[in-house]
Amino acid sequence: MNLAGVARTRWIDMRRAFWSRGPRRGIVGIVLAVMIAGAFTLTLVMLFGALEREGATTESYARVLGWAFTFAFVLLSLGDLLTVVSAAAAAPDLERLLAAPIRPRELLLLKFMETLPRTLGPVVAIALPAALCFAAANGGVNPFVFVVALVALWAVPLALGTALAIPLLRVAPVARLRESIALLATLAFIGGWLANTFWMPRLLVSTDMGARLRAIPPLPAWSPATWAADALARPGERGLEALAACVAAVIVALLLAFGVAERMLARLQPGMAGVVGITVRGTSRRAATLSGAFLRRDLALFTRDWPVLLDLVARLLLWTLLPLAVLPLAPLPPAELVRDMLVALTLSLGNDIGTRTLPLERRSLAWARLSPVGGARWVLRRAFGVAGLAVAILLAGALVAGTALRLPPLDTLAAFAFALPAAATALGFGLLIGALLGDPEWRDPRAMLGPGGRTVSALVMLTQGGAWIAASHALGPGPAGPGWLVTLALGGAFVAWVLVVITARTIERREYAGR
Amino acid sequence: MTATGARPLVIDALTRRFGTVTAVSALSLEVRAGEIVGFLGANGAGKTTTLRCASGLLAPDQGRIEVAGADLEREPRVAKARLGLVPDRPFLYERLSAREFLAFVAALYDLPADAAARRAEDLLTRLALAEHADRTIEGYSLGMRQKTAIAAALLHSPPLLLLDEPLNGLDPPAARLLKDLLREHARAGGGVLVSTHLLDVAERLCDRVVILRSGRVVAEGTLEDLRGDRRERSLEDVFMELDGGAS
Repeated sequence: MNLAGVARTRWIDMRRAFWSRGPRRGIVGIVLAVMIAGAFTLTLVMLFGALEREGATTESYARVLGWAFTFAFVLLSLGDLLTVVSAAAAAPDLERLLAAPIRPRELLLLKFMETLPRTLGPVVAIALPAALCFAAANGGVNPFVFVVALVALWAVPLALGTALAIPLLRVAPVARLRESIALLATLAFIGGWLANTFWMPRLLVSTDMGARLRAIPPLPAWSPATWAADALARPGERGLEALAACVAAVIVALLLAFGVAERMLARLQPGMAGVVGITVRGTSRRAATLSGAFLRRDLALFTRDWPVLLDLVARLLLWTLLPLAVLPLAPLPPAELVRDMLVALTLSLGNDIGTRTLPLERRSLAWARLSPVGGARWVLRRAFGVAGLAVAILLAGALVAGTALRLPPLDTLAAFAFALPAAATALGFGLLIGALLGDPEWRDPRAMLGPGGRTVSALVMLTQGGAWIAASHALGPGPAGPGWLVTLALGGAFVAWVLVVITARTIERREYAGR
Repeated sequence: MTATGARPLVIDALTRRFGTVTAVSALSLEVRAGEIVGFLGANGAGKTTTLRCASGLLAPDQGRIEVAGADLEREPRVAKARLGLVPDRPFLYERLSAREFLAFVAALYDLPADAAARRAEDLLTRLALAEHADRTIEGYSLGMRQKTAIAAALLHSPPLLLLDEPLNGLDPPAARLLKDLLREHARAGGGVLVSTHLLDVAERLCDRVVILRSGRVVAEGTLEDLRGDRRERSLEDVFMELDGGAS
């Protein structure tokens, strides 16, 4: 194989993909990684600063660094598995590469190069800031150890992900495999989020920070993340042993990946059977009224796209629980807390359901223009459908939160009424953002919006959520009065209506050119 | 089929640009009732753009399109109810079964429930899709997807049928069946505009052909018209001559 020629072509292809759909697409990914790295750096600076003030032992430093590396390692393991599955099986060039006179290990090398920008993400955003913060807090580290630790964190998950993905691809359909891994990634993210959200505020207000830090559970002994942390944080023989373990892990993982590729990659194609589809009996085959048909279709699409559904449930839950995390910092009376929890839930309704409503239809949204229904009626049907779903979720959220916090029924009802207009505006913004920035060719349900769309959505939702939380705070500890509720309801309904009208016009004007 | 008495499709001086590229330039054509018109041209000649403009998926920059007597710009809902499109890449919902998808499409076209269900069953049976019709579309082959799109386009028996490379992915029996369906549609008074690269199919199926080059009509007429005095020429010979061998 002319490795230089192939690498050059790949580089040109990657460069053009980076700049495709305007320069924003590639840059947004980098900006997001830098933002996450910034947030992570801030957290770690605070943590290492606290350790320094407490006069903490090496053990505490190693533990904090180890858990940061472990978080990056888990995200990398799942992310890399997902990336390898996508790159190996879903990439349109695999068939051509398999047919070309190149050895499997060369093919694997090409795929490694291709996935480099994506697999480096958690290293740059989490592991690198953690290592740098640690180095800053300790007055520097050995640069060789620093590099080996980061290379181990990048290479081991990628190689192990490859070694696992290739056999899996021979027995499971690509789409199902990708969905399952995406779900695992969501659950891992939830785990990290819960641990961080509930632990960090309590740590910040703790009077004995050192004791809390010492209470962090010990790291798993047989983990490359632990070895990388130990190599950096522990002096002497134990550090050297950890460094050797890192190097050994990289070598073993790479040998395993190339060994599996050599044996199985060439025979991958026959195993890449597509999804067979599920049989759905007992559903009505009769045409319904237009609204009924939309509801029936939406229900089918949502319930059968279980990764989307589970992802939504997880996100709805997380957003609702978010205000509980700040309780140690700012105690809230129950009526205000329930209001804030419901406002947080509406943000998820807008960010996770509203924005996905139109992209969920993929290219079939063209029916809005092709059929006599028209874009405006289409969007209105979708808006009413999603509003119905949102009201049901909000009501369930109000009942659960009100009961859990022992709020009188009337106060719960007032909190629900307060959150309704917030939900309407969040859904309105969500629909519009989905219409403008949705990606009809999405593969990962979490990426129905491109990186730019997700950033815009998060900023819009946080801004409007902040406004509603401020309104909730202005109402004071008691339930909102009827005058306030009516004013908010009218204002929310008006804003939502304007947003839906703009969305409808956007969809009406959307054109569908050929391939 | 709606008996409007008007010609199923009239395109008058259609122009459509994409940035600086003019995909279709001052194109005029018509499809008469009971007629199958073949739409031929090399890749990038403007066939798909014309079909998408005629179906309302793209807005023309200039020109007028009339579907079975309804102006597409002034009466879009009426015009769209009178046409069916089989696009080059079907617009399908992967997680619906073919039956569910057809029920949804029937609702979009406001068809009476029972009649739509009967029509859907008939089409599914004829297209040999009935036994797979309860399986979600994500598991369908290319040909099955194409058949589902064809069933959706025919479901409301529109006066005008637009098809963009409809034989892609179809096996020989299905291709034959599609040709039979198109002939039936034309016999019932409908009009068909079908783009294809298969010149032998166009030769045997179409009553008339329109040949496009760089967004302009370069020839139009029956096969006899196009052959002129040289009767021994095939459509392929005519096409290659007109296209300058560019394809």
